Amino acid sequence: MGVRIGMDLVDIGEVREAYLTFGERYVERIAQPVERAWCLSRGGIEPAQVAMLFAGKEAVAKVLAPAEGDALPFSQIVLKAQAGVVDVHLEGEAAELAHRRGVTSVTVSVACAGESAVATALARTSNPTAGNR
Amino acid sequence: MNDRIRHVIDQHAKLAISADSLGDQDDLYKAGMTSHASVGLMLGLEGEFDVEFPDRMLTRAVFQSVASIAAALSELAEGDLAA
Repeated sequence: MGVRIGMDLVDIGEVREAYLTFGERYVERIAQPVERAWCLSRGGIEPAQVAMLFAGKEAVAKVLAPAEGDALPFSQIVLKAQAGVVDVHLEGEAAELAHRRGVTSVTVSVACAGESAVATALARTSNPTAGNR
Repeated sequence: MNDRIRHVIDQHAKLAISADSLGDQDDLYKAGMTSHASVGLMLGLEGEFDVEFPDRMLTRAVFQSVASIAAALSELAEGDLAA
């Protein structure tokens, strides 16, 4: 068994600006309905929550390590937060890419403070040599 | 088309330099575009050119340069004409 680690840092101010510029169209391209419901359950779709979602998905994308021509829509990386634990559900091309990389499971942790959101993803792989490139 | 693409890059890619100083093949990620900024660039291009990038086009390669973006937009336009 091997592991891969992915990490991402997002400026909440940039998320706020993108939300103001593009509105719901921006959120819809990042968040699945279940993720938007999670935001709404925490008081609304706030930039800090969207930034944590984005950072979480980008961290997962990094452990999946797509090639330049690999499609990896963020809508296919679904984060489900329950009781402080964030489960990762991969669909479509993301699931196919995980299979190709030998990724058997992915977990992610997200946090925010001030104007930054950060996430770390940990993937277990069936291939002991499938570490980060 | 490339001038309009450069205008959208200047608005949304958050580069420290003007897109006018970039060649058509220059790598926008190497020029400083983050993954989050690439989403803004995608949405800006959709608004400017009245298109929607399908999931299969959401690759790093598509948004890598002025030339790759122009090729993707041309492909989308050809698809609209064929529809």
